[in-house]
Amino acid sequence: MSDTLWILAILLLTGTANALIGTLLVLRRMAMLSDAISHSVLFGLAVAYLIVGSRDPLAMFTGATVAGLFTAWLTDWLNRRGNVQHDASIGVVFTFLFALGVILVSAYAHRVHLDVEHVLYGEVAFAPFERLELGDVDLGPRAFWTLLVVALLNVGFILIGFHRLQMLTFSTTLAATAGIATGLWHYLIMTVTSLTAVASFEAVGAILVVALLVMPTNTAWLLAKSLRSMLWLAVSFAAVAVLIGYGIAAWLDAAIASAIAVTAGLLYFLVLGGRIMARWLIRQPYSHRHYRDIRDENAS
Amino acid sequence: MDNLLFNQLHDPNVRWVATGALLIGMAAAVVGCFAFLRRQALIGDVLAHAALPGVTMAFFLTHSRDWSVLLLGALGSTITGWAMIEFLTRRAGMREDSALAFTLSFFFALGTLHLTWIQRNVPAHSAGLDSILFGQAAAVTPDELLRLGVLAILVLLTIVVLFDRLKLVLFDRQFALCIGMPVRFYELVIALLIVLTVVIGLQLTGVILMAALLLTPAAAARLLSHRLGIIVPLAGLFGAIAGLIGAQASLMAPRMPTGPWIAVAISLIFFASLATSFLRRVKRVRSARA
Repeated sequence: MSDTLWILAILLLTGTANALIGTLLVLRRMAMLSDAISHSVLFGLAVAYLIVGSRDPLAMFTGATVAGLFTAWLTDWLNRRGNVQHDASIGVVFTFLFALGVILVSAYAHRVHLDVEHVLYGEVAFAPFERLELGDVDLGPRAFWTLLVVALLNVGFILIGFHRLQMLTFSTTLAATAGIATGLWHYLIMTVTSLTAVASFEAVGAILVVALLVMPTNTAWLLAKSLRSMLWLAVSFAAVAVLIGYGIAAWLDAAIASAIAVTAGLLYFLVLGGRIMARWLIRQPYSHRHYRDIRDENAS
Repeated sequence: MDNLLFNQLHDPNVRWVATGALLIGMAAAVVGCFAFLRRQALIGDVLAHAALPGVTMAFFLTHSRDWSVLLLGALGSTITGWAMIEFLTRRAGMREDSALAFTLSFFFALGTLHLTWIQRNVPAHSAGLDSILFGQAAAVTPDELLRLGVLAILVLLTIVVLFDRLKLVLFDRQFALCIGMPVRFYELVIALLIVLTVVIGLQLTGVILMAALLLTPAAAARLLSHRLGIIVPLAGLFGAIAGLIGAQASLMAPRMPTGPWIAVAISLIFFASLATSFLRRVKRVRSARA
């Protein structure tokens, strides 16, 4: 398999995983929490490196996931116990952790091969060079296998918990009355979000994570009628954005992650425009003006 | 301890940098209070990210690294970002949190796309442009910092003059409408003040940690008081301290980005006031029981 195909496979898996969990986040009004988690992952990576002393993938993965969960928990705690309003608690926590992360990375920059820009907008173009080797067999890029596992985890999570998640995204109160352990499921969603953010973040950087979590989902929301169709549509829009964005990046010779995010955003506006146009065309004969004219005629 | 800010105040350069940083920190914190109380605490984060494409575009078009040119670009794209949030929430029916995350990642991606394109295709002098990401107070000439300081004073003066009206619009929009105040006008003023402070604050903290300068002082002050007349000056004080710490950091390590130090300092202030408010609550509960 050539490098281009590997990169595309990695990006498509990233898109799928993020679109799935992003749908749950957006429906639960936690879109900005994904931004916070994707930033504080840097802190986890830096601390894991300092403790273990090497870039051992498993340690980095654990550190970053714990940092993500810690962000979710601290935000929640500040909000409930500290009387800080929800959005402010997100902002306070992630700027603090991210700033600590940047300081740690720049203080030990000569030892860590982890520069901040790489973390911010990643470089998937280099992903094929880090191979996963089992004995003598070259299995392909490591990022591909991590993302495959995470994408499968996302699919499995949603398949198993579908009915509970559906009720939870609809109304937390209703879910609690129906006997669902809302706290447990909230932190399960947070764990899957952190895992997804960490895995995709290594390949594509923090910004694409936020873009892929939020943009395809909201595009899907414009058209979807149920949670099921929203999930399918979100994954499809993510895939379309990945393919077109990759083409644009190759054409311009610029960052792949940024090109994909921009494409996903433009896709939203395209669908929004299409929907407005469609409504306009369909409703034209029965528009308000039409009714008003009839009413005025009857009145006179 | 020769490199302490306090011991170098005899140097006029250092004095200017310190004054500018102090004013910017104060203005950002004061304006941040209004954003915070409108429940738009994260808007500073989004608008600061939205400045990036404007900066790269201004650089690309003029090939100048002059900060006033770059700031004009930042102002333009920040206003566009604000308009996009308004459009998405009011016209397209997107929820507030989604609209914020959407605008943030869209503009930031646009900026990094352009930045990487410039770096790979326009080789000359693009190095160092990415200091906008994390801020570098030392990279600014004292002259420019002074100009930013003047802008910060303007922002502060506007708030002092309009304080009562802004307060009314903020807390009781319906009443303000009833007594015939131009509410939309004042809301626009608040939005413009936020945009302007975000742009001038970029110098100190950079794009990514602007949220800390705008929001954390307000959150810290809000924990200590329920009165706007106390919250705003208190936040201003915290912001000024953060600005000074930023200046100090860039004095001690000119190559280090200043944004993270400011963010950490201001977060520590926040946690201190969190502890204070806990202690007070415990005391109140105890005296109620006694």
